[in-house]
Amino acid sequence: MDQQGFYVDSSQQQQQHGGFQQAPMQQPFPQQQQQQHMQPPPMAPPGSAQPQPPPITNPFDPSSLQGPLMTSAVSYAAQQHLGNVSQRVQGMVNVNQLKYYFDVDNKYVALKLQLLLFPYLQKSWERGIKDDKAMTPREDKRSPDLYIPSMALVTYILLVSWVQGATGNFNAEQLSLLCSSTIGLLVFENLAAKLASFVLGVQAPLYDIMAFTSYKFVSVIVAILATVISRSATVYYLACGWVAAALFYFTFRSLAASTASKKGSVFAVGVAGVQVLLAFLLSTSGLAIIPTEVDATEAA
Amino acid sequence: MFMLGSLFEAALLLVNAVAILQDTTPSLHEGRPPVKRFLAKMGWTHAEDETSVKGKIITMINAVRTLMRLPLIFVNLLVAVYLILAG
Repeated sequence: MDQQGFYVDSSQQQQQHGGFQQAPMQQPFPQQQQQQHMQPPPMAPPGSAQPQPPPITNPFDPSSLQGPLMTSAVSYAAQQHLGNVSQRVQGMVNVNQLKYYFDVDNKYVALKLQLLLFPYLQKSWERGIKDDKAMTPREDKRSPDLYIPSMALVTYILLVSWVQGATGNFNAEQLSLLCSSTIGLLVFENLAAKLASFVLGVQAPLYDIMAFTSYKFVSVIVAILATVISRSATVYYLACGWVAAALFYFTFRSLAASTASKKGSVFAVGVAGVQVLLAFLLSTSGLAIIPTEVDATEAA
Repeated sequence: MFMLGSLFEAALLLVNAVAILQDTTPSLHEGRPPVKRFLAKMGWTHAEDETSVKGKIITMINAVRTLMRLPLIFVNLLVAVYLILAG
């Protein structure tokens, strides 16, 4: 997807730096080999000076698979490839528009979280307009952003993995299953919402839809945290009820304000309802940590 | 929970359901008017007003039927072979 391409560009470079910092605790010799093989691509901004391709003396010599010749050949090829990839990605993804959704600060994050969990005191939901454009999240707390949704998504995955670990059935395969199913669910939701907006004739930009389908992870995190802290089913139901009502109200008012028509209200109700249903489904992951009667009688 | 594979299967089945809708079929007797099938009986063959909800739905149905019928053959074949092998 477009958005993944944008993330890959910057996070790949970060991951390579982070990996080297964590390596030194282990045996030094494999780490050196790792560094040798994974040394390439430093940041290669498009249009930088192209490095010279290394001279190939004897490509059929099997010992040439290791050593500085192969390393520099791989680094040259990888630089070329990454240069191409980042050029193509910058063509596909509208980076300026994406930057708008990440223009947040701490005050906005706090206000937005408060809006997500207690939206009932907010009077006006129309997004402010400044210089003929909608206000950035920094200026107007009613604008959607993509920072909170992406953080909430990662936090949700970590939290569910923690719950699985605390109940004793976590393994790496489960983690990858969780990630892929969550992202698949998000893709499905966004496509369905985009289709609904087309059929109803409602203007809803894709980034806005991505934001509103991922805000529910904040609610799910709050519900799961309440369950984990209290370990009781009553608190789970109470937290779910509160958080679902708040999420529905927040999503409905936000979407209905930016698509001001009768069909816009239908669209907003539909999207908000689907979000709440899915939030209920997703929060059942926290139920596993509630001790059942079987555990109590076994302990006795 | 919502495994990626089952989500994909569900989407594939839904698209199949839209693709097999039919307007009319030619009559088996010579010279008779075409036989009305499901969409024609409901009056959903031609979108009169493109901007209404019904018009948009009709447009999307027609688009899926014309564009996706051929790729769906291959995707269905692949998925069927995979499900047979995977059990």
